Amino acid sequence: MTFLHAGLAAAGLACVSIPIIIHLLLRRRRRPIEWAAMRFVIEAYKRQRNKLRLQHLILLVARCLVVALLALALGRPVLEAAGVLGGGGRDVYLLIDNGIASGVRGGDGVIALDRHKEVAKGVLGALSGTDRASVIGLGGSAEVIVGSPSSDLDAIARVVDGMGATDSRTDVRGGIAHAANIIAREGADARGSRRVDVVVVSDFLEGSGDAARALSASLAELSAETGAAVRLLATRVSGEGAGNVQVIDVRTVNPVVLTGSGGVSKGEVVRVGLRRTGRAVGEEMTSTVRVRSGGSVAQTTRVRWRAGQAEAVVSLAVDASGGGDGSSHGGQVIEARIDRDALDADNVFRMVVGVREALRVGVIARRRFGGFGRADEMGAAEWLALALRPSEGEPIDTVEIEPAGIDGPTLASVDVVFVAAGHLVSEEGWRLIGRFARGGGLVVLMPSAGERVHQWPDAAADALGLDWEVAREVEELGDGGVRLAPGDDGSGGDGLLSQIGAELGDLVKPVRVNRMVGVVRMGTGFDAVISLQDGRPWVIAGAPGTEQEGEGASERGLVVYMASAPVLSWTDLPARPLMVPLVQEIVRRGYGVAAGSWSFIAGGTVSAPVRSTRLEVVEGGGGSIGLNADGVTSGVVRGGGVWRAVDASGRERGLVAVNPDADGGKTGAQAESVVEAWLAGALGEGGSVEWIDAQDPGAAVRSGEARTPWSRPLLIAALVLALLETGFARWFSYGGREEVVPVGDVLGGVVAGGRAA
Amino acid sequence: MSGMHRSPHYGFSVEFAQHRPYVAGDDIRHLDWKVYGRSDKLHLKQYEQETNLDLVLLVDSSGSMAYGSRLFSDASGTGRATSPDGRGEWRKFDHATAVTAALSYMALRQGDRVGVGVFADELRTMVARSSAQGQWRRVVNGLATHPVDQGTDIGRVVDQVLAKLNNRCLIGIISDFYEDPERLRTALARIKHRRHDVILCQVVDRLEQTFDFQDMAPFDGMEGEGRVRVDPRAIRGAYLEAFRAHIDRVHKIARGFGFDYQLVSTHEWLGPTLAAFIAKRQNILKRSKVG
Repeated sequence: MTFLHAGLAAAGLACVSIPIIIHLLLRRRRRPIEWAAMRFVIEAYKRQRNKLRLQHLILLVARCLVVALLALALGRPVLEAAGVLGGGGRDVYLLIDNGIASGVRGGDGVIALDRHKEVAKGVLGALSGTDRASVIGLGGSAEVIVGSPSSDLDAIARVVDGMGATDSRTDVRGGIAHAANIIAREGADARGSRRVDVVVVSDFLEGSGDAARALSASLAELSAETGAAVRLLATRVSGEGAGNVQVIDVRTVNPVVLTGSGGVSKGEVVRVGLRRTGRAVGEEMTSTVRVRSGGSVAQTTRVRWRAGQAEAVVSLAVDASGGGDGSSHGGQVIEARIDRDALDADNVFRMVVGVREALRVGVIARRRFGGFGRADEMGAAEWLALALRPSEGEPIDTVEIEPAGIDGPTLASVDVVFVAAGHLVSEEGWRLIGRFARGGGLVVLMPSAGERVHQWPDAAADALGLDWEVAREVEELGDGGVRLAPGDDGSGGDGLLSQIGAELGDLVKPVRVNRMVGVVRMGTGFDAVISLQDGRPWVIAGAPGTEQEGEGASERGLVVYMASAPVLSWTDLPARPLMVPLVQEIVRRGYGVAAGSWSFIAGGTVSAPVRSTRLEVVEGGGGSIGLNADGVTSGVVRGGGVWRAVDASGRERGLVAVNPDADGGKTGAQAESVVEAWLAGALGEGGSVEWIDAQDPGAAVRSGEARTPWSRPLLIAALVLALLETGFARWFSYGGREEVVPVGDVLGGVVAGGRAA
Repeated sequence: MSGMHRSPHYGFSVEFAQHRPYVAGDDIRHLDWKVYGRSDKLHLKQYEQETNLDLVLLVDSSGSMAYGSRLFSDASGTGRATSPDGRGEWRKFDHATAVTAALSYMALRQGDRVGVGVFADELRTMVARSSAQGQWRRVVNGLATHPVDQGTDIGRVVDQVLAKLNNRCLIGIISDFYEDPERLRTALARIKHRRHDVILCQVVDRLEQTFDFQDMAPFDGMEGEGRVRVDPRAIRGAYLEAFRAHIDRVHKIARGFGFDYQLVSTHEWLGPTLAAFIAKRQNILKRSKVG
């Protein structure tokens, strides 16, 4: 049981003992009367004993009840939920939508989140002193702002006032789950004794709640487990929504911008994806897109939207060479921005691209001394060196690595590793190569040209966490060899060879393969980039596995396997036009894929380049964010912006961009019936949602009050009982009810006597 | 010496009482020859013998007699606020001894022999009957005692007293008679059997008659009945009913044996009480002489 004024209630209840104490004290104070006619007293007492006991009991109960009722009336106990007296307090869980959609500006210029705050404060204003409130922000993932319900409603209101919009998607599901957890926890203290209202304050736009994904019946389960009576209240669905244009994607054609001589940095093509939501979809309009890279001059273009057109993609060439404000260690922020509209948060999108002067490629092969006069005498390392740096201006540097000389510093100095002599790599070497790959490196494997039997693929598979299977012996494909064909995932949109996808068919046709160490099983996550015409994969690519076996693929890194050594005895590829673009694309694009993206969507954790220990804000809200040992933020990042990743010594390791969740910023309206059914899912079968009127938010809360003003009835009852007690006491006291006449007088005089006749 | 009271014994004294037929062995000196001459039948003349009155007063000194609600200064008539032993209340025992002393004094002045016994559960002291000079002082000395905490055993006391009486006496019992009425009836029956006359003088306190208490208090029995915590106003009706029934019962028992009964309140003066007693005795005496 809880009381508005627990101390007062306790004091009042303690007063119940007053009549008992008075009774005991009065009993003790009486001096005993020595009485001669005791036999008559005893006889009378025995005759009246039961009656007297009953009278005393009635008086005692009446007096105690008077005091108890007064205490209850003044203390105003919360018993309604328990069904004893009614009128108990409640716990209100305010689930306030501060997701990206809450930043929508209405026709009156008021931002939705400000309206949500006013509604929340209206609800708080309707609560009484016995009520408590908790606040949960729905900006994904939902965040518990005030965990345990507090009765300090003013402080709660201040917390609500201080809430800001996030750039993440509204997480109603998570918010209700948080509320259910808190209710369950609180239920251990006051099980069934308090009523519970879960109030969802949102416009329920398309981005605020995905009605297609049913909510779990967590509140229904909670009611079943704890007996708590849970109501679900929600603000009405915004009937109009808002017109909104979003920047949903920014990407460069090349994931890594090489700025060295001969690079393409001066004209990097950036593709910007746009989307219209809400009422804007039906309108003809024009959007201005400005793209800039760091401190460079923004490039502008216009998108003319047709009525009904929802998405558009524009391409601009920008200078991504860096040197401006947004440049960083090995990275550059490309920002796309559009005009202001109803929702500002999703009008900007930032992408971090790798910017390197040149890539360093290490080729692990046995060093050969002397010149090579004939092409058929050239080894794989020589052919690869030629393909990687066909001219002096190519922004790719090659490094020869002795198989026995593989060590950490060497691998740390390169971006890509070609393993042309796998059979010479030690177990420790493979381990280092595996770590290199998982750290975001590109590893290209190929058979050793001079070996007939190949056992190194097993060691490579173990080190790289691959579940592929490669034949151990060289397969001879006949005198004429087998021609190549494009693979399933080579020239597609994001494929490794997508840049040469259009010409790939012509490029692979002349290439013949005479020998190969074939792929028996590609393994999970690997795709064929180039195949033989008989369909067998020839070049495959996929992510390395994590260090722990069976835990899936690593988030970064790329492993490419070429089934034939690039020497003329195995294939005529080195002599064909495909050689250079194939190697170049594998290196350039493969490195970009391996390095991974440092652009994230708000509402999730953010990872940073290797050895980073914290993120320091460059642009956007928030401050420094700590990183765990894996370089991942311990919590969710809800706000968009650009951070600089630094290591323990303060050295910059790269840039990280967090972008608004465009899906959460969809401003289309949803049907109220759909939202109602969706929300009711949290209450289980038969549950229903009660709507809150934004003009009078407290009305819905007050309507749920089964509270009777018990204080007044209790006071009246105490008064009536006090009057009854007075009457009883008067009646039971026998005061003035009988005139005092001596018994002798009753018999006929003080002296009565006589002798029998 | 002849007294003022009619003797219960018929004899051959100076005052003719009646005739009775002669039987062999009778003293022929008492034959009424005149009757023989008129009726030719032998009859003896009988005379009523006037003797002294032997008055035996038995005073109850049980624990219940120690109760008194009247102020000593109000009752003693001497102007003293307290008794010689320092008490401020006028006890039933005080009233009983006063009644006893007064009756003894009057009887001795008429030449009657007076004896006084003080009893509780047994006969505690006994002043032998005498009409000698100084008897009243001995009676008063015998009364100079205190109640004890014991209850009353009237049957045992009566047996002890009857053993000391060899002639018919007037026995006055002054007590509150707070005991079983049936035991009292048995005791009085033995006295009646021995052809003694009895006066029952029941002494009660005014507060015992009214039970006029206003505040709740524990009641301690004075004869070891224990303690009862009770609201006196709540049981007053039942108490008075029981009290009244007991007095009525004692009265009826006395009347059933033909004995006198007096209810004496400690709050009344002795004068009216004794006057009423004497007047009633005189009426009885006259009526018996006429008869």
